[in-house]
Amino acid sequence: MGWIVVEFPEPREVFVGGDSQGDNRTAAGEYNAFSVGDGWQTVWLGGPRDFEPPVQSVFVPATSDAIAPFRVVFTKKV
Amino acid sequence: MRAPALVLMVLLATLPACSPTLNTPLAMYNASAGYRYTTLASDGREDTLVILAFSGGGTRAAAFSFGLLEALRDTRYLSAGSPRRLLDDVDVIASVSGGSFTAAYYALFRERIFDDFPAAFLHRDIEGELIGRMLWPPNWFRLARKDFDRINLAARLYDETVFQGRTFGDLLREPRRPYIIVNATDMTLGRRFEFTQDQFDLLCSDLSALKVADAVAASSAFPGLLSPLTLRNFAGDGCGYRPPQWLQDANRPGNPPMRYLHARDLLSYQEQAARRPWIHLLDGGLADNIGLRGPYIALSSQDSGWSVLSRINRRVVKRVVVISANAKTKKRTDWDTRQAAPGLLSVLGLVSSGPMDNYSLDTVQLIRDFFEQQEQQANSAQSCRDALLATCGRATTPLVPHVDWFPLELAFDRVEDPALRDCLEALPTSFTLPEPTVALLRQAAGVLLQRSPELERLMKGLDASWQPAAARVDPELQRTVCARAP
Repeated sequence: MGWIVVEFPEPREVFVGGDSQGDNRTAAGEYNAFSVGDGWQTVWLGGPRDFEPPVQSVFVPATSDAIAPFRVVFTKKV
Repeated sequence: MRAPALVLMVLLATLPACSPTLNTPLAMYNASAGYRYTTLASDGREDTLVILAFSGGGTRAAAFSFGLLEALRDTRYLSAGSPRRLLDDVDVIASVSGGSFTAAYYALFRERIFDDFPAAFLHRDIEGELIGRMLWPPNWFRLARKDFDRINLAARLYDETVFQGRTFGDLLREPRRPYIIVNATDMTLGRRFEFTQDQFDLLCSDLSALKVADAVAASSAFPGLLSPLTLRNFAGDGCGYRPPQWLQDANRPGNPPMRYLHARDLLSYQEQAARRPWIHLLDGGLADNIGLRGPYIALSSQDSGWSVLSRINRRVVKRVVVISANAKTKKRTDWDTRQAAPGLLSVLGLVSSGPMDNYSLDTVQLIRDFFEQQEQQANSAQSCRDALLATCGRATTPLVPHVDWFPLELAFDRVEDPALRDCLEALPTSFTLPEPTVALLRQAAGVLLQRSPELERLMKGLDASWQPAAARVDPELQRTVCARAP
């Protein structure tokens, strides 16, 4: 088991392994942590395709936890 | 007249079957069609996920799991002022062997199970009827065919007399949960094989056309007594199948071994289609005799067609309830009273059941450990947030979903009364049990559920005024059954 947060400047739906995990953050700006299986995961965002990279393959360590989750960072295209 | 009649009988029996395979090919892969969790609507509460697991153990397991369904029907509570039954909140039933009869019957016939199932299955001498069919001369010729074996005879018996010709397609006529996962064992892989469209996609086969009785027969095909059930793997013909992303992710070297090997086994139906055009299935108990491995994967990862973890991450599910009806027994032996080593039958008996029991115990513990870890993670994160808020005025740690976890294991070794416990643990594994024994098993399941502290914790959370239903084991019934138990 591992934990991730997905960083993006605005709330976006997060997909892990093709399955929706809900929004990456609340309207108030707080991040939601997601519990995921450890090992390789494919992560992308929903909504407008205004982020990069378009998809990320990440290795989630089993040592990540809810307090110190593994960070997956998407940036907004300019 | 007798000779022509006999010739006709032999010809009819030995004619090639109209359909040489039990299962049919899938015209085109469609991830949103067929019998799978996502195509079934829920009548239950979205915030409460209830998973049942029915173990193997012949009629003993079928009666015990039936008793659990009765007890859930009788577990009533108020939800927003309206009466509900916990039974109506059940989302998934995973089953093995004897427990598959109860699971499949409930999925097909719903409320009718409470009136019909005892006469349709529990009170019947299924073993005797099966032997009767095997001894019926025309069946000797059928059994000589390479596409017909003892398992097909059993499946026909179940189809005609228990499941009334129903197919998995019939389960989609009113596509409602609970979603049943009937488990068998793939002989080549030694792994769980489930009768769901998610699994059949890998075979490029359409589960909808398959008789439910075939699935239950495979799930309960105890080695030696019954032959394996054979399915055709159509993956070589293609159906446009594309593995879901989670399966592609899981199939990458470097992943934890359990995850990687599970994915490799699943993909072997596609990747080794030329080498594996036929899939041979045996009793589901060989791979997982408690039926909890599939739910464990769905609970603890995204590697499933019905990932519970994803629903928790979406903050949809607030309570997860896993109730297993484990009909395992504990045979008393006198082996250690003598110097002479136990005989071959004793050794074979231990070999066939010992590892299965240990594996079931591990699976139950795995789920309990997972629940505890998740709870600890959520509590630590919340404590950290509270401390930061108190000292800094704001918290930088992320929000963690809070879920209440309820693991309930109904097993004979949890029975408080030692005499009843010993009696239940000594029951045989067979497909025929006396009616009083069936009644005792049903009552025992009810008592175990209603007296479970976990059930009380769950129900009080749903309805603070909840009180357990009256449940007891009839002392006279116990005397009757246990006096004649070995």
